[in-house]
Amino acid sequence: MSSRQSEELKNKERFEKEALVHIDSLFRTALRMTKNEGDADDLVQETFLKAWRFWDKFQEGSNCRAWLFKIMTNIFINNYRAKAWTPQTIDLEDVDDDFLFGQLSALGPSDDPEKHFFNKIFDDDVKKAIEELPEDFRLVVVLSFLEGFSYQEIADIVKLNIGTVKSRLHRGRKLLQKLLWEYAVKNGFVKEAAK
Amino acid sequence: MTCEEALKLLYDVIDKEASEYDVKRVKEHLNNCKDCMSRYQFEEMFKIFVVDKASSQSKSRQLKSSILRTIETSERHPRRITGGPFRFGMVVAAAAVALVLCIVAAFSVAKFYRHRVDIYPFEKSHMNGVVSNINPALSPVTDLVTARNFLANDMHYNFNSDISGLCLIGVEMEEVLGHQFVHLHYFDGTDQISLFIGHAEGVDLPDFEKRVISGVEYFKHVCRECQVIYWLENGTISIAVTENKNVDLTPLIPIDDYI
Repeated sequence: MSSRQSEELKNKERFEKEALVHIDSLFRTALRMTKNEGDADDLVQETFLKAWRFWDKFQEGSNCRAWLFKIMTNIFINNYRAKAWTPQTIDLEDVDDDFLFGQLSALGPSDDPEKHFFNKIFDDDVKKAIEELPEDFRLVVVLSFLEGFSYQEIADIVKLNIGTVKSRLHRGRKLLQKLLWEYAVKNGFVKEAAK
Repeated sequence: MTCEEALKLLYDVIDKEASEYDVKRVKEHLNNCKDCMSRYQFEEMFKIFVVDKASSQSKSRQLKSSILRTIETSERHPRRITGGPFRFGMVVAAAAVALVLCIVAAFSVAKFYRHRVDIYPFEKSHMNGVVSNINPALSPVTDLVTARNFLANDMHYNFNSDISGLCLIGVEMEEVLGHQFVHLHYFDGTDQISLFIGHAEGVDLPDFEKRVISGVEYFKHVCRECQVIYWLENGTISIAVTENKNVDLTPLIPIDDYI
């Protein structure tokens, strides 16, 4: 085996060990962003293909997971954004900071309304609510909540300044709470409190 | 600490972004303020709830094996537009010619940077349309110095993946339509951008998709998996190559609009 071939093999092993291990995490985010498994598969595949092609440019020791997310975000915004566009169904303004907290508190202190509320909502409903968020908010919410990236890491991945990341995350949170509350009201889990 | 101050730090504390000092102050406040305490507990519970409910996602092994198959067959090094293996020796030999061409073409380079912002929509949207956000280290002169180092040493450049601007990763000579061009490869952290610069007269451009913007004719052609854009100005053909096929020519704005 030539030294070039063995180097290539070593590269591939390293790629598997350092990059491919993040496949589930990337897929989870891809699914929330594209909203369907076929596109999520394609997006993740494209991400790894691009990462592989630039693998020798990736600096060992730096954050591989963040690098992969950056590549994926880039591809998503360029190629998938229009496809996964969400019609604006929720009102972006007018969500109080303590909207859900206020609603739940108003239900009365008797039987721990918060726990009651959280227990009623299913996994799929939370996922659906996340997918209903406008894309800009969804991306930062997913990167922060589900992937656990720090504000700075998110800022690097989505190429925004940290202040914008924080404000999007803040509003994304509020919108998510509002969507879940509306969902719970619609399904009769809670009675809308007259606030 | 007042309630207002404590609530201002709410998400920073919950997302573990607050400083130790702030966390300590918030804790002291929460111990003495039931209202803030219940708000903090609620937001914390909400986050745990969302993470818990939305994280469950099993993934088939299929995706991994198909990725492995794909990378098995794909070349790892940046794609080239024209055929033939890349020969380092040839490039070294052509270095002198390249440098002369580079200097001649420096003006075109400067133009390309400005155009580039527009033919790369992603970059633009994330720069909020402010052209001055381009890495100042990208002046053509700096890059030509780097180019010289490249040609004299190695074709690869170690870069930090966190860079926010462009980074030159390779220089080579290319023959296009019977004319010599300098072929520059850039990397912006995630995407590769390749650029030909050169001077060619009397070349017949095939009738690609054509658009005239402010009197300059732009030709678009999808070449292999890349998109090539030619434009003819004062008898010089500039060629920009982007990896992204979906780049739209519409937003190309004449340079003068930026100055």
